[in-house]
Amino acid sequence: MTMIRADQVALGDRLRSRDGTELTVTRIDENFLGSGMLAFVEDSEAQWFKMPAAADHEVELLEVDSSAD
Amino acid sequence: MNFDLARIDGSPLPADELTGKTVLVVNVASRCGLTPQYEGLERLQQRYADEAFTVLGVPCNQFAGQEPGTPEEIQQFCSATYGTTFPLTEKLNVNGQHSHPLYQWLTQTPDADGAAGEVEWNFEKFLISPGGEIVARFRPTVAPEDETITNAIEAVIG
Repeated sequence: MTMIRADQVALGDRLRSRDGTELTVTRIDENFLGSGMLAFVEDSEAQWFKMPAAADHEVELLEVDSSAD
Repeated sequence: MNFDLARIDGSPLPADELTGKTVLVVNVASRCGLTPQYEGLERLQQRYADEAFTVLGVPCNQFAGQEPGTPEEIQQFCSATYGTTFPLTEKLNVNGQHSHPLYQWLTQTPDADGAAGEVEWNFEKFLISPGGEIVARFRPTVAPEDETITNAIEAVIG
């Protein structure tokens, strides 16, 4: 299992939420609910899903967006 | 409010059960830090029970998967844990390309800060008048019994 700090996640990365849902990040929102947390969103034909995380916490990374290289 | 809706048990929720009522539509989830808002929502349901008012709960699993249960589990959780009496719909998508038409309509309405668009998180609230107009939108952290909500309800029910 690969973990990554939330503030290192980039658009296109594929994550697994704590509930097991996988998402490909298409948007990163800041200051989720005014808490200062980040929120990773997949807004695609496949699904709309939001997963918040504190910037200094780790999230499970499944796949890095290779197109960003 | 004339949308094709079903109750959490899968039976139809006829539009005429909501038409002519003041309705507070809330997307709900059982495993959220805001889930205790069910208590305040039920108190609103009781407080305005004689005023043609109802809360309408809309289970949604799009926010961190915090509503994963079956319809039976969701219904049991709400009634057993919080004693809710207001209706729940079937589980719906509230955001995205596959969002339910009810939410395609609701999310065009701005909040108090003038921001329309996506539902931000679980327990966002939309107040609908008996005439079917969206009167107000309240973001998730606004508690059900916050006076901005009760004042808005009372302004509608007169």
